[in-house]
Amino acid sequence: MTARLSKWAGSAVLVALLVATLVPFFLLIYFSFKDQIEILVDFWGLPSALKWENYSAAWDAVKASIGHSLYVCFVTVLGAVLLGSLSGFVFARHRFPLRGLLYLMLIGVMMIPSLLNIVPLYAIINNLGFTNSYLGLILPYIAGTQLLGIMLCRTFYESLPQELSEAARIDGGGEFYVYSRIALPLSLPILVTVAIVTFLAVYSDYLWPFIVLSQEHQTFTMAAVGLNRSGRTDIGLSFAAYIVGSVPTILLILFGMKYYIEGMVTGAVKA
Amino acid sequence: MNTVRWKRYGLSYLFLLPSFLFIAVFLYYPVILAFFHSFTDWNLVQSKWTGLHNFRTMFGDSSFRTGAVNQVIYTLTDVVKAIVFPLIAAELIFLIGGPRIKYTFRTGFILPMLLPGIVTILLWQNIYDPNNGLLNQLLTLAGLESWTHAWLGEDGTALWAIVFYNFPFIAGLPFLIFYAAIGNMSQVQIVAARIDGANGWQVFTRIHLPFLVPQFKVVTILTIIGSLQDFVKIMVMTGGGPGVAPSNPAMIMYNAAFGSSQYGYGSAIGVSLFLVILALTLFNMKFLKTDY
Repeated sequence: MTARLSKWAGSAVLVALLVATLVPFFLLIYFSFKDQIEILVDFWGLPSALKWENYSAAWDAVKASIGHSLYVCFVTVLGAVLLGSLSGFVFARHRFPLRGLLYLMLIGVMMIPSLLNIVPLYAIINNLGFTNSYLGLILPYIAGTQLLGIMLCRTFYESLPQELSEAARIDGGGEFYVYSRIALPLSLPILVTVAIVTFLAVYSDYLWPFIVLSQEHQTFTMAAVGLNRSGRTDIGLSFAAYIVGSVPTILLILFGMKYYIEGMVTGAVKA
Repeated sequence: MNTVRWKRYGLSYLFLLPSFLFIAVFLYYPVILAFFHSFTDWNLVQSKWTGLHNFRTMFGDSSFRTGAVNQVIYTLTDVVKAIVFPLIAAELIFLIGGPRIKYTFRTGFILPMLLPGIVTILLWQNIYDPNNGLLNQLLTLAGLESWTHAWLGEDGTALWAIVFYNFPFIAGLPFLIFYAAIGNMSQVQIVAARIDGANGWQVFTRIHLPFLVPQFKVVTILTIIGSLQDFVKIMVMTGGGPGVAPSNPAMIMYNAAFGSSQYGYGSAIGVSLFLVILALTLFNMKFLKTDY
């Protein structure tokens, strides 16, 4: 009896927590279809008609910024995947002096809190003349995001049988041939994982673009904050814009989940 | 023979060069700059050595002291938030659940993670809005109009509004960590305890909680490190004000550097926070080691 009672009480608490968790989510969708006047006058009332114009106006307001974000994400992902796999390959398959120390130097970077570097990194970007340039985002992003790739790829390439690269060498292929034609294709699931993690982190970043870029080059996160600040706040339009701008992350998580988990599992099992 | 070997070594170093160039310029060099310029008056182009002046300013600055006290509040509440609610949710899911119910609830709780973090911050800014915010509208609906506030704009409420941001604090990594750990628990002990007449509460306190200690440690240290560095939500929702009411040291660092161009002073705050984080990490590593 008490067991059943506690089960009911537990369910009630759980449902309450779930509803509370999803309130902002519902609010986002609900207001994105509501007219600004209706929100002001009748907060709780259902919209008299679904206001799809919010979405067309929102698309016009943020499409350029989404394009900027996607550009930065793609270039960063490319850099992170290339550098991560190349260095991971070298650490896994080559023997050379100072190998252990160099690897520690790379991984040790993760001990540096990002907060410490905000001010001096801005100085470096400023002195390189990269303020208000996408390079001011992309280059530091690649520096940080390649590390996950190096670690995962190293583990994976160490697990590949030595015979594969021996065979390639006998056929006359050089080191770069082994890397690009054998290691790289085999590690595709790992690289997809690296790409997804990198993309999500870069797309969601607000602070660094806000520091480096001016408004005409703004990323989606900057545009989203700008919509809330510009004085002409139209809640319906802003919320529709938040949804439009979230589409890339939503799609990537939903469709990439399989690769993401697969890559993680492969990396872990083969280790 | 030797030259052949060094030729191969050279190739390895050549392949590693791009990675090391990137971390040298964008990760190691900034650290050196931060430490050096924490002792200078710096406008990004020129700097003047001022010794410990920035650190003295920091400890003498009443805004910084307010920020430090706020940080203690943020960090303590962050740890409680990261453990209590996600743990309750994960435990309850396993208490009530068949597989489908479990899946539904788990998915529901992590659904907000689909949105970029900045969107969640902006949604909460809207929830706290004095006129069109959900919180004030709810209070008005309940006849508690006198309880309404400009939550983010008043001295007395801004800090707590930030603390209660993202209530009930479940959508996030700690929830997934606890959920996975509880799912992986061996059922043998629990069944044995049940046979011996243990009730649900005893199973939870005597078996689950001790089993979850490693997860508590990981979540705690990750939360503390994150808490010391997190100021984006404070910046976006309040800009750090009114005054410095909801500011933490990281927010004050940002405003010193990018608001009033005191890059040296900002570096000094950054270095201080780094030292605190380092000390906590080392303490935690040692702490973890003695236990296992």
